[in-house]
Amino acid sequence: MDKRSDLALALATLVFGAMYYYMTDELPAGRVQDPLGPAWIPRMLAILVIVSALWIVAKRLWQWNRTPGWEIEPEGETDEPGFPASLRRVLSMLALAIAYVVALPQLGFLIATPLALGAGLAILGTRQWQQVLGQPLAFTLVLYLFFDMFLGVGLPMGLLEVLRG
Amino acid sequence: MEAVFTTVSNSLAFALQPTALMLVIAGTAFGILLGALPGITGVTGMAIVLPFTYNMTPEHGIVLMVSILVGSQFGNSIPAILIRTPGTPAAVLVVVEGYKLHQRGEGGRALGLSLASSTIGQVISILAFIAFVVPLSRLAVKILFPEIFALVLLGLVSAASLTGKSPVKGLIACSIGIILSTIGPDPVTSQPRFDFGLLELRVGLDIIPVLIGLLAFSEVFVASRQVISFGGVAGKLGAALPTWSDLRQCSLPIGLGTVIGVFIGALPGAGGTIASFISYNQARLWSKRPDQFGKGSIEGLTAADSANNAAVGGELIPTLGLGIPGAAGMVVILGALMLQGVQPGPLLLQSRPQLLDATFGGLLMATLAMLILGLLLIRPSIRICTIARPTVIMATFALVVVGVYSINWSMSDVVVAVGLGFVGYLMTRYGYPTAPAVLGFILGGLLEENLRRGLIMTDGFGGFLSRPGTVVFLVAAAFTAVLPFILERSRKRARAATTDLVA
Repeated sequence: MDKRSDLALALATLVFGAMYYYMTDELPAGRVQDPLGPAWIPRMLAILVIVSALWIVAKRLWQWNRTPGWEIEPEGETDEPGFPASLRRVLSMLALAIAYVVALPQLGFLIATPLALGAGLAILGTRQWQQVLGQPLAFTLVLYLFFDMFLGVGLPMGLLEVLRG
Repeated sequence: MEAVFTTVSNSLAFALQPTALMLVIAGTAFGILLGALPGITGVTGMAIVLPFTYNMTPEHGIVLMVSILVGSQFGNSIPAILIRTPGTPAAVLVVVEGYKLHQRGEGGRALGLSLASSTIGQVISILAFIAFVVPLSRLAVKILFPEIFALVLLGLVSAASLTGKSPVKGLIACSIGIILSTIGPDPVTSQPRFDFGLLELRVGLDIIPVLIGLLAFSEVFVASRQVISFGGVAGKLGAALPTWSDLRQCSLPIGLGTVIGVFIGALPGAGGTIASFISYNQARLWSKRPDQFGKGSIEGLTAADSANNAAVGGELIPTLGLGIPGAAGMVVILGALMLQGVQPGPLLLQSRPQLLDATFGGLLMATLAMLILGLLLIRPSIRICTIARPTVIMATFALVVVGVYSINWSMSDVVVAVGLGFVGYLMTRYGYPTAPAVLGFILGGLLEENLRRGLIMTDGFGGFLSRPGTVVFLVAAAFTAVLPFILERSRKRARAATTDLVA
């Protein structure tokens, strides 16, 4: 794993902890009956996160010059060897997910879902157009029939609201 | 003894009802096929099914979840042996030995032994489960707020320290989960906290979006990193089945694996993966043919597989006995129960004793189903191994979104799931384990409520800390927190010592 990213993530966690602690200021203090009050556990958690994040930051910086290059011993899940890994693909998927969530109420399930699934398949490397077009349509239909018709979950219809009648 | 007999007969009576039986068969089959699917783990599959359990009773829900889990434990071995891909990290050792066997044309033998060791490991672990969970839950009856707090703390610290490579990161992950649980009404005063003025946050975050986001949606993002294609299953499946002498040769590894699996599984935080590695190493130490390990050793294969499966029974012990799950699969099971309004924590079995019968019955029938369906589904599973990963990933994507939406018909739930999905991706990549985070979310409220109510009850810290049960659990929690550091020290010392010997 890249030690710069690990350090950045630890710093972000540190900032998060500090922000969370700051937000506990608004909470009321404890009363006689309930000595800790609503702020105590959040404060403890914030301190725990801050101290732990500092530990990681300190450890990374301490060992910074010991390891040449940017790669260090991975602590999380690693990529399977032999296949190229791309952060850009992950970010594309995130953008797709966000776009889907935004579009779903507007366009409705039956329109947004095939588009999203098709785009997703393309991002993930599916090249055959029959699959990129066919699978999303088929799967959307299956999901619609199962969730909306069979289970009665009112999926958002968006533009096709008229179908609800 | 009589209690055990009653439980067994009640459990079978429950599990043999048509609905329960249908769920067992469907769940186990789904689990096996799911284990064979590339790109997603059994836990993700369980998380996908989770919203469907909304309309079931808790007993049926747990039967379904347990069946899927049991099925996926065998299903994982299929791609491991045939296409060198572990369905979960726990199947890594199955890959090491099983794939070599397949390359020698002994794929059928490997699969058969995998099935046999999985079944045996499972059955024995179920017996251990029943033996331990009943007294454990009886113990739980005697405890009050302070003990509950200390016990929950022990479970959380244990899960945070023992999962993953970095206990400090585990601690952060767990804390973040608890922090997420603080959004919403205060457990004692009911005043809103951290709601940013948003109506959606006033009631707090729902368990489903958080669980599915961190455990399932994160996998969608992780799987998107690489485009992995398979050339198909190399070579035909060797039709030869394992022989009786094979089984006899493997009896020690299977026995070891089962015992190790149950004990390691029962520790919150340690699970099937660690158990399979320890069992594999032990089997190698005791084996008459240690040189076979790494080259297609059936002893190594069965040791790892039986430990993996036995861990399921072990993991269920604290999950049901104390209401404190210790592994990702157990977290999902608890999530399913919470969806039904069952409260986590030591009083879980007290509040719903029928759950024990349902779990036990479900486990027994699912193991039987795994044996039968395992044999039947090997061929279809091979086909499934080779389904294109993008298809699986996008199918997961769609199912997860719709599943989360279907609980409250709420898009904001979906937003939470997507957001936490990306957070979960970052966490997974950089070593902040997601299962303790979800655990922290589930148990956070319990932790805080029992601490504060406990202090109110004992009128301050003095009374609180003079309770023997509380002190024992708190000391154990402190010990578990430093344990990884002690182990790391002794490991470094051992490594230095051997280097000295060599040099």
